[in-house]
Amino acid sequence: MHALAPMPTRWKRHAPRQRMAEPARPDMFGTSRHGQQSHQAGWPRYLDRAGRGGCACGGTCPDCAEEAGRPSMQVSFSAHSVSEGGGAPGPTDEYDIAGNGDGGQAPAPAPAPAPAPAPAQGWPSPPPTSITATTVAGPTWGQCRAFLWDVSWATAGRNGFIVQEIRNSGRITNCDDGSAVPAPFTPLYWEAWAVDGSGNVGDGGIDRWSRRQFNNTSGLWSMSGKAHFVRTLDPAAGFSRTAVPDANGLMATTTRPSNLPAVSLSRFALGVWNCCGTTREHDGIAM
Amino acid sequence: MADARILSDPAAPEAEVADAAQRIADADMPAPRWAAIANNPAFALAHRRIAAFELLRRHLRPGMTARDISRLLARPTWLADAHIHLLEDIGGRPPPVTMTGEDSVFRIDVLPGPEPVIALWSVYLRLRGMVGRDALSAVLRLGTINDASDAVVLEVAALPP
Repeated sequence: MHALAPMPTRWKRHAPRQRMAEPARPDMFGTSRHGQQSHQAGWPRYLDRAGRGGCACGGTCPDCAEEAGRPSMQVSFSAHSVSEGGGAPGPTDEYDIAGNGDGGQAPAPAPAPAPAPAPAQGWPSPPPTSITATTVAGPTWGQCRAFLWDVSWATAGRNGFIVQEIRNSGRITNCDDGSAVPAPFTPLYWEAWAVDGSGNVGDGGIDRWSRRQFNNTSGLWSMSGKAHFVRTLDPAAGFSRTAVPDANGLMATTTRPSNLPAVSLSRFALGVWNCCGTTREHDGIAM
Repeated sequence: MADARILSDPAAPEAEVADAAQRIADADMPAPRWAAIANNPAFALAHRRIAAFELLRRHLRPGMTARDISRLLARPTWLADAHIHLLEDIGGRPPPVTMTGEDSVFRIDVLPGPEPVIALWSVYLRLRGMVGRDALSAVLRLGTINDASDAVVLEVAALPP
């Protein structure tokens, strides 16, 4: 019986001030459903000169109204060892689950309850447009690396595009000789779904994350996505429906668009499998 | 037969060709006629694209083999090797056919035109077993006999823009 190699990913939670819903730990070949995952595009926090946490809207937005009892949902992860294949994220890549696009840096602790914040020195950027991803299938970890997770997009944005940055990484190892099998993914790309004036999301409005099955292999894989809402696609980025095989016909590019605002929603999935001999193990997380 | 006349006219406007292609019955436009238009560079790119797409949409059926498809396509000059994709890892649009660990799913882009491609006409094939992309491309484009020749089509879906 082969045992799964220790998951070589070190997870760090940076000063979580509120615990996010813990992703269900799937059984082998199991399914965990997370329903809707949403980063509420609350007003960004800042620290006043006294280092106190505050709310940028000055108390008028829902986040501020609930501030005393609801600290921000800042949880970020550092994936330190899942980038060994395909030129994917480096060893210090951060997955910013909070979606603030701040590289996953931990927010300064906010003493609570905070007194009325001092006047801000300059207003922060406007909040990101709300984007939600509702699970419609999976996530399912199947045999020998196979994985499937479908979500349905929704957004408060109108007449624009959901642009998602996708980072793929991982490695596939042949069981017989330990050789590396080329991983069939594009390490980093951006893909777009058009959103009309009524909020309808084009191209079916579904985002699929799936991994191909590789028999007689072991290894690990990870995917991370950061979704933004933009009014227009950056023409210099060269979005095209044939540019990125992984996007399967979506407008996509491997050139970073220059007009991406703050992240509205972050997602992450990971799997570790062993399909050597009679072993059939595949476990992971998705959030 | 007016639609057949429009479809066979290299000078027919694209909108008329598109309408005629939607209306015409299979009996009035058999597969070889679609294939002949798709292969003929005298027709405009959009006209050829419609013909190739209709050829695949109307005549590909589950149960056919890759070799059967090759005969249907009749050495397709419109089909470039780079336009046949084996779908593996996906982070994007779900294909309109089932993906399993035992089968192979391919996307054929029908005359996508120059980059950037804004509108994509695609046909998806799910073939039984693990079929190599290069092998299938050789069968479909060149009529080569190889490991992929007898791969059986399990599912077909045509996806216009």
